[in-house]
Amino acid sequence: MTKKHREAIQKQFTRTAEAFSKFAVRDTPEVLTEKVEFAKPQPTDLALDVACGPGAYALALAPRVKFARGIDITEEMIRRARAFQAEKQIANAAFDCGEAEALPYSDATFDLVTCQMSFHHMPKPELALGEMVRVTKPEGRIVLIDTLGPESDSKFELHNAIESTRDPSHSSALRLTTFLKMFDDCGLEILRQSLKRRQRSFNHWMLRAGLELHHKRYQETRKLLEDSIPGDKAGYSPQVQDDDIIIVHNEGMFLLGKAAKSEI
Amino acid sequence: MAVSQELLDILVCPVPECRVPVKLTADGKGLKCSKCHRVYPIQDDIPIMIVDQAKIEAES
Repeated sequence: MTKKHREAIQKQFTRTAEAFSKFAVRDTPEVLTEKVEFAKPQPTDLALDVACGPGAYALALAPRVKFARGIDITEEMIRRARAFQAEKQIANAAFDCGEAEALPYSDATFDLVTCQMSFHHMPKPELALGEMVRVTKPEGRIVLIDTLGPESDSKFELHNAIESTRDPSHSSALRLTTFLKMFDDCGLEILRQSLKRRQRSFNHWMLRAGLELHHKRYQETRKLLEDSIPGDKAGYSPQVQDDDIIIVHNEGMFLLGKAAKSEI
Repeated sequence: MAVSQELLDILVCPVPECRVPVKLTADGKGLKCSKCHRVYPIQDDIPIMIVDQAKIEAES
């Protein structure tokens, strides 16, 4: 990750840490539980959540594993995560500050390595996945969850333009086909996958980025989205509902294992 | 909350060419890589393991 992009992420998530934490109910308790179950956590697992943000997923995993760590590039997020941890009185979790593309952990350390809703912030997600593979034990599992960009070129470009207008630290919502190729390139096999359509309120989604009606970026994002409604040009399946717009993010959930190397 | 031994046991320098264990500096304010001599700062008990936020110090 370039210094400029890292600083963009740190700036965005430091500025919006409060809003992001407060509105990080991107995942309702039901969705969070679904994501925890998807990871098939084991009581013996040493788990790591990469790009953990305010720690919701790591803290949800903690009661089901031996120990859960979270790592994030933004210090303010680590402070939030630690505060949530204290609030929830969870003893078997810890949070560190570092980059997904250069994890500060020894090889083959963790039984379960997860990353959710973060690959779309990374200019080189393949580096992060390579790092996740490196720190996972040979028999360990990787869980990758992220929004999926549309497969069609025109929808893909407009979709990512809308995302970047809302959040300048957005890099690219990858296509399902890109994820599948990346898994293959990293020697991973899919043990389980689930594709979800997550419906959400546009206004709530904007609040999570710290944007309200009077903000310029709110207005620009809303205009782009409204213009995309005829023919669903950006792949959000948008539906106007009073002063809000209901949008859909396609989400891929993947449980991955290191593929057994074939004998020569 | 100081840097725990459990963390020190798994923490390495994130520079791909290093990836060797880091050690607590004498003043307890950083974690030093013995290979590249980068010192990663510890702020409010949070080790900042980001390569370009580390300072390279002379070999001690």
